[in-house]
Amino acid sequence: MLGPWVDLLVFLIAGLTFPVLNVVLSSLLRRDYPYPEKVMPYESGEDPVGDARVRFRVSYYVFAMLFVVFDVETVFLYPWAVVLRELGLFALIEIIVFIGLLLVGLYYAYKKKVLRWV
Amino acid sequence: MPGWLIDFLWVVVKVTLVIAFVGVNFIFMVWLERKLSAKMQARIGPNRVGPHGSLQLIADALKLFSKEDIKPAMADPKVWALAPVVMFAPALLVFYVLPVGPNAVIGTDLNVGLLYLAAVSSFTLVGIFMAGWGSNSKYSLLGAMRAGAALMAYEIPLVLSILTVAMLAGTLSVQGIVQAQVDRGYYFVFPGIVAFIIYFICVMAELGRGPFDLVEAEHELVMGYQTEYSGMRWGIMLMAEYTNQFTAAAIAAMLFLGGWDGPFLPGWLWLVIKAYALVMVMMWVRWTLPRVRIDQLLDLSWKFLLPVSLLNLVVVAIFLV
Amino acid sequence: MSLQVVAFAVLAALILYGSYKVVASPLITHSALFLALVLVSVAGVFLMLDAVFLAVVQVLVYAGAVMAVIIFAIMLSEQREIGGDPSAQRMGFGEELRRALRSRHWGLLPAAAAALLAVLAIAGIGRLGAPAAPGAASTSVADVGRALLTDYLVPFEIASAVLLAAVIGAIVLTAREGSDARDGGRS
Repeated sequence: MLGPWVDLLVFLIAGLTFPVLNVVLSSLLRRDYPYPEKVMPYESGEDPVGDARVRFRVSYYVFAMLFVVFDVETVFLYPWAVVLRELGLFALIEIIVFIGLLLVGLYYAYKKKVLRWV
Repeated sequence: MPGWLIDFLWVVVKVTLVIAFVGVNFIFMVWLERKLSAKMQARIGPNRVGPHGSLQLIADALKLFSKEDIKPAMADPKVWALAPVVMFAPALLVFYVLPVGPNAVIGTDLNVGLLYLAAVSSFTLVGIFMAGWGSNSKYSLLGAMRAGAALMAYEIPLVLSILTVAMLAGTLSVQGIVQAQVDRGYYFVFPGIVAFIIYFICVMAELGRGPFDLVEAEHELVMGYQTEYSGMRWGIMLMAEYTNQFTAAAIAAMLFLGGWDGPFLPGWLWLVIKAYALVMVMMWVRWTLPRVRIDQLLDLSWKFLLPVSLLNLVVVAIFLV
Repeated sequence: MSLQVVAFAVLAALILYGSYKVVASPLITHSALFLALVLVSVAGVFLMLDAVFLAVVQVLVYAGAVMAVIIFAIMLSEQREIGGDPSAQRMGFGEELRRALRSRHWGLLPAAAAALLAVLAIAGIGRLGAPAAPGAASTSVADVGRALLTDYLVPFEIASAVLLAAVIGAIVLTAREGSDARDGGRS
């Protein structure tokens, strides 16, 4: 008995090696002819101007923060969902308080207009 | 032969079977999509190679193998090369907890199954950003940013709709959820119709399908974060994408439609039939609706789906208690 | 037992190498990706300890959500290279280590501390008894749920208040009154 984690490791290794195997296999079947125009970053035929690493708008970051907060919230909800039937009303009221507080946060974000894109 | 060696070989056989399925499924789904989209647009679609063009995709796969692997000069070579690998591995890992019959799970039936699925698929974001950063191209980076924003926005309502099912079944194990539906004699799509619809919208958005494909909106971003990839590397990314689409449909079938449950036919066949039915609905939506804008995409999730899915969760909980 | 030691050694090596690269990479994007490697490897250690719930949450929250914040924070900055020494990119591990030692690289400090910890852990692993059989003593999700909602009720509710504070903090920091934060970037 190797346990489930060895099985999982086999899946992981297979998932990592299969793409590599394919790329290597296909590289054996053909030759590459790179030249400067071909390996240029693709911009619909135009010569690229400047670097791709530009500064992005801050709203992406706000959405990322909101995402973390709600993601952590859902992590708390998983165990709750499993024991809800067992603990009954008590667990329900607790979670309504929990979700309620987070909805306040979402409402605040909405009122502050950070959920607006343009 | 010692027992552990037999166990080990059995796992290797299982992985090989799953990979074989992934390959066949990829080819079949691309063919299906091309045929269906052609029918919807009053075209014929592929019809030259084999009956109804069924061998077209085999020809395409062979062609893909022989395509040149263009390595962009501006790219960050290691990150760029690793991105398809990081995107493919989670797509394969998802299969680990999927049940295909009454006592058959592909890997192991983890008691944190749903959480495992969410964790594995959340790693896709890193793969997408590796592609965006590694390519060092403007289209790629913009595509990655959009994909990231979409993934983040739709992950929460997605998880909340899955939680509704976990609550109904009282377990996070995927097999346990299917078993609960079989035992109780009704599918969770009936008490969880709102959750089902939210789940469906969210997976389509996360996969960049349907009206939500602005990640690779070809008129503005060429192919999004896939722009700088060619040949087999791009093939791997596409394969990961189609595999994710299939597993998303299969998970929907398991959580809401009873998974392997059904009369006469063997369990795995029922699962595949249900999954493909949902895949075809996704294709139907994709080829019917026009693309949304990024602000509409984010508004739909943060201002509508998130509050609605939270409320739905609470309402179902009230009914349960 | 031997398999476990090998697995632990591999994970420890990954964590150590990853954390060294997090502080030593000249490109901040590489740092972020190595951090993801470290976080996933830590989840592997949790798995070895049979803390399945913790391992999955580690991947979900850290490799998923926290990485997302780090990625988007990096996209906010114009400069993605630290130090601006392009030759550093092509250095081998040994050369990097030597350079880091010569320049009294402060980032090496946490890596050294981690190495010390790992040595202690490896030394300690032989002294521990055989770990519990898989599944025997592991806590299920239901146990976690019961504990959260009964014994640890107050911390649980405080967690939601902390999360609320995090939302408000993020909004206050990024969207100041009067000024429109959304024109901060070009795209």
